[in-house]
Amino acid sequence: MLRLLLSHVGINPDRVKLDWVSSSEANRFAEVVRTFTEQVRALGPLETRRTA
Amino acid sequence: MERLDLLRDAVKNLLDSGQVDGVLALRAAWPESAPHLFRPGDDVSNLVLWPKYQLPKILDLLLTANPEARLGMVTRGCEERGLIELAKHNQVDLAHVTQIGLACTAEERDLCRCAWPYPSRIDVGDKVDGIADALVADHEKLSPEERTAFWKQQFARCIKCYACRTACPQCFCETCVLEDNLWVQSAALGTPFPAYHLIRAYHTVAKCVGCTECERACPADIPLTVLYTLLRRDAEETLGYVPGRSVDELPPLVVELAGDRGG
Repeated sequence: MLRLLLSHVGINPDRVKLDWVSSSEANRFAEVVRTFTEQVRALGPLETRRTA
Repeated sequence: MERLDLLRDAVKNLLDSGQVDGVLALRAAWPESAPHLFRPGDDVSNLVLWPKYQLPKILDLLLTANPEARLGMVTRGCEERGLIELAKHNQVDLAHVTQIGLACTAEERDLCRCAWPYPSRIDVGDKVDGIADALVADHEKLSPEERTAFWKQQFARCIKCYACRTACPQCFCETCVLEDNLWVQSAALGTPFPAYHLIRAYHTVAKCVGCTECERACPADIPLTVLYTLLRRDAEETLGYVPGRSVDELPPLVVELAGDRGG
């Protein structure tokens, strides 16, 4: 629902990720964070400060 | 007879029946209309229909102050749905409320861009079908970049008066996240990220019945219901939930502990 809300106001919903990682899955946690960080970095900064 | 005369008669009959301690409706007042609790024996000739008001919220206040009161209320479609959502969130006890169902006219429907301008039981007025909100259709033609620009322009006009929150019958939390500086910076206008509006929109999901009171209250004329209507459609598509449709459907986003229900 949050992703849908963001899409309505023109923010790429791929900037939000919800995932489940157990406390025993350290490697998986690192992998999820690494992948998501790269994904958001590829999208670049959200230009909210640009004047309309 | 005119719709207004029929409604006055219906209110008077309910008051005379002795079933209620009062009937919540609108009366003529500066500048146009104001909520009023008509008591038995009162003159109902100053009862009016329009502009509508956030009556479910007033009823909630009245019943909170007087839990034993038996009240009547003139309910439009959106107001009946608002009451149903309030009842499902333990804000209003519908057993204490007798409703006089009022169908909206085509003109009133058009002013609210309303998809559902009639209550489940119509006592006064004739049912007219709902319409699709043209502003929503226009919004859907926009590209993501145009949407960002559109809402940025709209939210830039916000003076953070909190009228949309205060007018909303579904905003009944005693502690409001919108007053928490962690999320919404107080006394700051035109913040780069529209946290206030996005949080409020997110919190209307599966509760907003489309009464348009937020938009009517907004001094900056921000078309807030466009966003809420889109989310209401999303909630129906993804959760199968239509706020205010039935008192028996459980709100899908309310978390319960196992075995908490029933009791």
